[in-house]
Amino acid sequence: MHELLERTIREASSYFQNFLIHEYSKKSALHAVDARIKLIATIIFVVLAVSTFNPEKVLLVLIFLITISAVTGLSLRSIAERVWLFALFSFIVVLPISLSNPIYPVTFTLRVATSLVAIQMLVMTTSFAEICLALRSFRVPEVFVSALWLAYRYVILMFKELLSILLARESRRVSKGSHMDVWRKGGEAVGLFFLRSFEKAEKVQLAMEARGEALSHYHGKLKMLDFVYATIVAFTVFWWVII
Amino acid sequence: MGDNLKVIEAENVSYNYPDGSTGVRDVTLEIFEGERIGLVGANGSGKSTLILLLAGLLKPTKGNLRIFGKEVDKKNVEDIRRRIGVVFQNPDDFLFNPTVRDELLYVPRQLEWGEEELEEALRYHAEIFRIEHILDKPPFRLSGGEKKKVEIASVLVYRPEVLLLDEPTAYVDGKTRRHILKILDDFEGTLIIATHELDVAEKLADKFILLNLDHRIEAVGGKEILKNEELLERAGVI
Repeated sequence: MHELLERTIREASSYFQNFLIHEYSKKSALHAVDARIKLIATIIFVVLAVSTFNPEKVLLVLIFLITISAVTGLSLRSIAERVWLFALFSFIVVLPISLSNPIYPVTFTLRVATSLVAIQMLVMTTSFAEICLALRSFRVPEVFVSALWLAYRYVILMFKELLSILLARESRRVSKGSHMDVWRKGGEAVGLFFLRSFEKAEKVQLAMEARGEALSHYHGKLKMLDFVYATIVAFTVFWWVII
Repeated sequence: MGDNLKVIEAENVSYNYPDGSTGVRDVTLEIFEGERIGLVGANGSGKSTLILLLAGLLKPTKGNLRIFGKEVDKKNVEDIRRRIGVVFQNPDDFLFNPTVRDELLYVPRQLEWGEEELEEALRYHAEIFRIEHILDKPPFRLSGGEKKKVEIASVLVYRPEVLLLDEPTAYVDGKTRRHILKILDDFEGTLIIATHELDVAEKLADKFILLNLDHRIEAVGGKEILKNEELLERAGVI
């Protein structure tokens, strides 16, 4: 039982960490699109997905997103790997409603999946620093952007710490042990995890202070590719309205 | 290798991380009992990934890996863990017990050693690693050199047959480095050491596997590999 629990925590940590980290190994055309355009496009796609209960409209947005990803060379498999768990979870959560409204769980899951695909298209092709800078260029208050940036850094660190503790335990787990032992050791590991996360967070804070934690301003002019992408988004909105 | 037992066998093993980045590509190798292997390569060549794979802690995304003649599965994982000791590059990633004493006795207690045997193992390893004075301290409060010594001691204490070490002299000063190298030199089992420090590899190993920046094996051989500047330069080591 405890092995299953430990494996679940490890897989979940790896999943959530991966969900937040932007893809850097495979470049696509979307990587070259300006972060500000991608940010606005993501907000538009999410709004389109969640502001309707018409499954055809949601499906239209999802098809557009998948097509854009495929055409620009973004790995559909990577997107699916990052999205499926949340989509499945949302489906399970609303499944009881199917007794009164059979189509609702499908529509709801489609909305969640579409929003997540849109977010992943941004996360996988844009570093978090660029996203924060794009937010600043839209005059989002600095305190909000800084808090977002710090939260992102610490969440990544926290999952990294958790994964390293689990891997270290795994490397020296030579017997199953009694349940009592497992819970006692597990409790100690959790305590240590919080202590280490706290210590690491302090070190990161010092490192950020040493090198300056303020995000600079966004530079760069819009290119032809940015206008092409903006046109595609407008085209999606147009079809969403007339369908 | 004569009648020596094949300890680890990798056949076209590749590993990709969940974010899509490559760990190692098409690694084929055989490691026999008693061999002392130096896994040499530049930073980012995949040494740490290969160490975790050879320890059975990562599952290859492609290819076959057999440890003591078997693929790692639920049935044999505990036996493999007991016979293989692995030392991580960063001791902060490895040490998770409340005190150094608990750290050293973590595996022996699982193996249900008697009190006398536990005390003897603790005393012996604390003495040879010169860590008697820190046994009741929490590991994460120690200096870099102390952490490294505790890390290696907590693996050697349960007498593994195979010892996998990832950069064992990282984070330590010259004196601690010599001390650690002396202890590892005295280790009598199969030794696999990943390092980018050629002098460390030369001191501890007699067979070398050179990884290149494409995450593949560039060459396998004896000490002549460490003298071949062209080869080392191509692999990004010098």
